[in-house]
Amino acid sequence: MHWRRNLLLTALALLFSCLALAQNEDWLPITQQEQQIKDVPGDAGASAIQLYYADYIDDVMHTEFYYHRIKILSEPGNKYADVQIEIPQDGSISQLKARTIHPDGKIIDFTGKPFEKTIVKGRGVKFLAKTFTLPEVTPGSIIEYKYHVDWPYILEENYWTVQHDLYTVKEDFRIKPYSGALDDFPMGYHMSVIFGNMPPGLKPKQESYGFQMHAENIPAFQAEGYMPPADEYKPEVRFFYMGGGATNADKFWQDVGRRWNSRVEHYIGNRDEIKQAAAQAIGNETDPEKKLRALYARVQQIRNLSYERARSQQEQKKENLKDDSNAGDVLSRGYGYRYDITRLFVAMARAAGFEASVLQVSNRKERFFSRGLFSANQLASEIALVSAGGKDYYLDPGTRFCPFGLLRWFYTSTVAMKLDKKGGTFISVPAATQEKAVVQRAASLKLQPDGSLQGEITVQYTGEDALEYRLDALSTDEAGRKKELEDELSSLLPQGAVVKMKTAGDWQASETPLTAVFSVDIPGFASSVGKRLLMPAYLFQTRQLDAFKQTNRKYPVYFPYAFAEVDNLNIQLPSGYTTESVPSTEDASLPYARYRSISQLKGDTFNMQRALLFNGIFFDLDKYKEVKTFFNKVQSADQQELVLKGGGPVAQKAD
Amino acid sequence: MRKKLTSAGLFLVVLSFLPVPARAGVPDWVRAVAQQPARKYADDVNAVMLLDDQETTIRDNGDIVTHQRSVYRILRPEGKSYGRLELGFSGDTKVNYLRGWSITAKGEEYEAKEKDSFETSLSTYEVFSDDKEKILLLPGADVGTVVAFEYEQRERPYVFQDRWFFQYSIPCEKSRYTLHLPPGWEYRASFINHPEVTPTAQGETYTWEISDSPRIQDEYNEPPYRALAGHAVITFFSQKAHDNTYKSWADLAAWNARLIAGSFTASSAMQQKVQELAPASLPLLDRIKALASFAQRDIRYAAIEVGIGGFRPHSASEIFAHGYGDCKDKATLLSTMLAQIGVKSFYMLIHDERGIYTAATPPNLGFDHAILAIQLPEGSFKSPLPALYEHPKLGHLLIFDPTNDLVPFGHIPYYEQDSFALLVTGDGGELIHLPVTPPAMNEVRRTAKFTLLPDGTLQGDVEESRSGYLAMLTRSYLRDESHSDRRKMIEHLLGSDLADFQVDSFAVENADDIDKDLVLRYKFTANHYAKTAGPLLLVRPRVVGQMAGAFDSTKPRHYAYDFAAPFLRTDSVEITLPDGYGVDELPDPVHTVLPFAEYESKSENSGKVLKYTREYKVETTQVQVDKVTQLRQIFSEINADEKNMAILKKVN
Repeated sequence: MHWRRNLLLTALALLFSCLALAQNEDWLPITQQEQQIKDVPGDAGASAIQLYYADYIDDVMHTEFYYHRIKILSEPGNKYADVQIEIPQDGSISQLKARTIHPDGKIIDFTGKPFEKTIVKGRGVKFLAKTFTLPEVTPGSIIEYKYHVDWPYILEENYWTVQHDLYTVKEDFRIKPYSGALDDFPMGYHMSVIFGNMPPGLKPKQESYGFQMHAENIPAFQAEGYMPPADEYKPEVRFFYMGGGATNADKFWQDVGRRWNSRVEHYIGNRDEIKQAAAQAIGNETDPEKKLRALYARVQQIRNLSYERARSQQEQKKENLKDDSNAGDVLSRGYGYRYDITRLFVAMARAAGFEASVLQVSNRKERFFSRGLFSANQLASEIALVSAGGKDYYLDPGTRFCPFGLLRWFYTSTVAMKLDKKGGTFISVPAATQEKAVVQRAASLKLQPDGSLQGEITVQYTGEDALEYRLDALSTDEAGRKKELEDELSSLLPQGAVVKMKTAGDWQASETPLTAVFSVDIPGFASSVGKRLLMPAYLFQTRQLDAFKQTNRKYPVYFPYAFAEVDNLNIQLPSGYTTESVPSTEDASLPYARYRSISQLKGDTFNMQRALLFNGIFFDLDKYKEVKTFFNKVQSADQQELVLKGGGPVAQKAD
Repeated sequence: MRKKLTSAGLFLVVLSFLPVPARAGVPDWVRAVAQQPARKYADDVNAVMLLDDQETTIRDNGDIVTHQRSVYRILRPEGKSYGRLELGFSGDTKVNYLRGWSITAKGEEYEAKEKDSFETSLSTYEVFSDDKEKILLLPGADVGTVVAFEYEQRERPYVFQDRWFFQYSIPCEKSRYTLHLPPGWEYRASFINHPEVTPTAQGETYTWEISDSPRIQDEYNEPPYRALAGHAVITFFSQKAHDNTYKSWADLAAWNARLIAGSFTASSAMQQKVQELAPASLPLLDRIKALASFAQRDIRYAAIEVGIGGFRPHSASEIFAHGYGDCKDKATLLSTMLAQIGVKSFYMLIHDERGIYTAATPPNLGFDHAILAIQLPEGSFKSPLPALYEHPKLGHLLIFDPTNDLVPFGHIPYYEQDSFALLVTGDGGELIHLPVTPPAMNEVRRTAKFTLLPDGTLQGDVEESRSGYLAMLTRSYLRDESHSDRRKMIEHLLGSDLADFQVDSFAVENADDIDKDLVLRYKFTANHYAKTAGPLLLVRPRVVGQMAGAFDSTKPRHYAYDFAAPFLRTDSVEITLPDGYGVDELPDPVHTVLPFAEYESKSENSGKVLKYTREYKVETTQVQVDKVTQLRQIFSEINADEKNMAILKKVN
């Protein structure tokens, strides 16, 4: 959203603004210290360092000034001499200047004309970029460029980028808020600031003209695998204009909650056709949970447009697809988006006499909820909360294939707002425990004297895994689903395994596990050593090990959801061999995790039963060693070998 | 920073969500194709191209007008992308019109026109290029939908040639190429990866048709797409455009020579630099090397290509002054500098994917890279250089690629070895076959010494020495990484062979000195490395490193298997055994010899030390498809050997 301005006030303000901010835009002198820098503190071998960065926002002048000074430390850092500056949709770039400073102090100004690159243009949309490359850049060079981004209007939200891809030695930030009248705030307004993840002691300071901040020695942001959403660890400073009323987080969320509640309640309404549909779905059922399940199953029959391809207006017209404006529309038309279906479910639950609410829920896939961040988009999704038989049910009927009682993983262990007339209440959505995501594998295999292993493996996915597979399957067909499951199993088996899916369960179901049966052929599974045959006791790779290859981490380990793996492997051994050694029973446990594997011989069949239960998602650095040690034990136990001794036919070499 | 500042991601968002207006008006030719009975294809075929109809008209003024009609049927959800056309254009290639239609499985019809499309710049590796594309999205692109596009482009070509591709990653039921020539023009059609096809002729109009071209499938290490897909190169000749036509490689080289002739300009600053870098007091080869190194390492790679700038380099003096340039700029600058010391060199055009140009390839301008052939005077070098090409007339030509700054002077990047390049001499030129390095010049030599503790812990040092392209590739992975990230890479690498381990130290030697072998040294401790099995201790003597190539055993192989270059990998591992343990049994030795590869390994018991040695040598750049079974066999042998265990037993 952008705002029109009051022209008279703007003209006056422009004058003051020119005086306040214009004096700091000259090239800065190169210091001796900058010339001597040869390495990045704490990051030896880095190819470049940002010596200086400035971002001055002047909402009165509708302009933003940027200054980058970068030192090239080694050849790969030369890439920073190629510069691309994106031009915002309605904005423009002005006063662009750039230059190279040689290690000997010689200055080479960029005198060329930047090229204009089209990011996307067409049908009223136009995003361009200015691009240029600096001359005579070698390791040791300092390059710098500065420019203004000019806007025809004021934006409601600004931010400062404190952490960059390069280590930054010094940074200066300023913002001068608009001071004229704004149509959206007839009762007055002010600029508000929020900040988080800041280095110790660093925060924006209020000045007579607005805010300023000076930072030093900000390391580059380097993401790690299996870390929580990266934005949770980047310093951020945001500014936004607020009306006179919304002065704090409580007030902001109360206002937002009231608006949402009004909209949702209007949508749900109190319609007879909903009551009839609820009664029809429930039938003679009297048990509260069974009644709820019947309603849940009914709304999940509604065609869910959120999981279909986006359609053009003409397609919608041809297919007679209209926007649902209330729960009755969803019911009568038989289609809706995920929020339409969630609201219909709440409407039907209420019609059946339950206490039911819509929850505006945050999504922890991209970002954790922050109450201090005045952005209603944080709670953009809707799920349902129903009280039945003295129990609270968190339900996600708007997610296709989501079984009753399960929430999609990114709505669990997070914050939601339970809507009501007063503006709503924040609640914690419970965690999904390990039994909500279980993979069960059963193998019936035969080991050949040449060391190859053949037979059948049945994999059953329950809960989160089944849901994710079914949702993924919407974007492919039978062949694609088959390939995905085969590839998944192959990735867990030794190299060279040939996996063919024989059958797979109902992809369209919600409540039943997803079961797939595979035939497998693993050449060289066991290896012969002299008169012995060595066979790995366990078949699969430990899935989580990638998270623990590093000795040290900078950020916590984060799994999407808790999980359980339960395996039962039966391998018929070749005749002519006796067992010399059977793997020992192994056990490992933590307060939130448990592992156990038991190997035994039953006649000519080797049996291994294994269970890995993991009931956590977030492990801070102080827990890293503990979790790593646990998974190392798991892997070590999984890598035990069964030793067979030849007494009959001589074992042949593996193929 | 403003919230509404755009980003590249926004581009995708815009494309994804803006609805495309549509009004039905499906032409009869689309309807006729759509009504053809649907054929049966393999279940992983995403779409089928029902019609690929290209009509090329040469105008007497030298313009080429291309009219294209394409019709697809979407067979799988993965084929929905065929409802999106990406049509390239530039300052020299205009789009006269563009339209598209779709007919869904339910019979609903939609139309989209050029004004519904989006434009975007196509620069990828370039700082800037004037190449753009129009993107047209069709509504209704679901499984069963027939989508069709029609467009016309007008081009004023630099050389008179056209390409007709009739084989794609999806099957093509009918492909047609029609050529309209004005009086006084001739053509030549040459087919690549497909037998010659005779056109039907009607006056000055010629039509070729090919039906039922199978798709090109993805396979591990298959040759590049253009080396597999059937296509034709059509060249046109006329006295009116003789400067831009060619009948032979020599003609094409001459055209290129004329194009670049004005670029070899030396400035006084450049001449001064040449004297500074390569004084006459140095031996000639050292002078050449110094200048080559300057072009390779001190001239930054940055491509700015506008119009003919895609083919013609900037002037050498400009490149020198700016300190940057693309491949042809670097070759031009080096050639100009070499001329200052009296050394002649020749521009060469090449494709950076081996196999696209072969001895049988008809003359065509489809190269994507420029390098240099430096004429070495007799007696200017002593030891044989891997990059030396002996030309019957021009003598010793040292092939040098100044763009790749990780390949030492005297060597050729692996992707140019065993490849064919156009040598541009003053009066013409020819296609020449570049040399390939022997396995011993591309080596990974790993030596490791470990101590095994009674509890199964393994501790020790590893040294890996890499040469040739294997050093180049490793340097390219490491160069952008800081020391801590390099350590993570090592940890990740070891993680594929070891479970519970920690890297105790790690160092890289000669990372920047490309004339020397790259050496990685690391020390690690792996807990529970040896597995206890009753009274036995099981030890995998290989410890680290995997040598077999990727191979999909679940599908039949259609194409040859490519290697980057011949190579040699050796491992020498010594594991000192814990007190009280001795070797009870060792894995059998392995020795497999094939015409193109050899693998040998053995484990030995030397008292307190378990020794494991192996060597894997590949002597070719390509294994033909009829020999791929043998290749699979050797991969299987390697995989099995890498799993082998030595069995230790308590001796007391």
